[in-house]
Amino acid sequence: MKLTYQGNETEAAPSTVAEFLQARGVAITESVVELNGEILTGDDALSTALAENDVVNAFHIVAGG
Amino acid sequence: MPANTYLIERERRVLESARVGIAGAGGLGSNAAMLLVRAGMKNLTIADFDRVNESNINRQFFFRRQIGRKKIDALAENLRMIEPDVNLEMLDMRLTPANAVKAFSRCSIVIEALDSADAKKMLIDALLPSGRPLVSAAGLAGWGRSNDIRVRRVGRNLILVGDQTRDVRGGLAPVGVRVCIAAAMEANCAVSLLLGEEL
Repeated sequence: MKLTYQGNETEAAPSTVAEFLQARGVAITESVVELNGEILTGDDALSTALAENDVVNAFHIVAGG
Repeated sequence: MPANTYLIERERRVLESARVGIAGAGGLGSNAAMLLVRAGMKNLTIADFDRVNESNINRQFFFRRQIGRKKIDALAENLRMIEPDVNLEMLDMRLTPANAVKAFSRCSIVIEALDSADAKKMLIDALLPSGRPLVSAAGLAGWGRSNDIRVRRVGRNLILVGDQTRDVRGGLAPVGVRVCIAAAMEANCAVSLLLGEEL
């Protein structure tokens, strides 16, 4: 199915948000994940199944302050 | 005379009546607080549990004679040197999922200025459901690459500052020249949100 990930169109097999991101090397526990403009909070939300034309973004939260 | 003499009346009223929260009084938080007071803000809630350390002097708004003092006390002293009338709520606490919402309940905007990635993520998860804007920073270590530090709107109410990449765990030091860019961008976002301007 067709998705937009980090601003780029991409093809992906059916999966959950967590599976999709982990397959791309994203450390999901250290990231803020946005699905169709909404931030997914809590582990349950990351098990949401992706749908055609979803827009997914992941932002890595790294240390320093 | 307000700290910022360039404000028009409407801007002065907005900034003087608003309260911004700052989670952490380190490199991000101490400098963001300094800039918000210089911008004309009068009400800040700042939470931190730590003491000023010698390693902080490279980037944080503290002075050598303040080493060993509680950051909230030293920062309050420094902010009052800029604006004696500032109304500070200094919270001596380590923020947790259980206490973060209450700590900043009076604030219309919160600036995340914590150090570890876990703490940053904890605060984001705890405060986002409130619906109020949260300005967070990640990716500000080292020097150079100024143009990689940017502001992103994420979801409904998260604003992310930083390059999302260059962290202190990868051997890069937290250095004032870059940390202060991120701190200034966080403060700029807060002021812009309050005044209804573009971020």
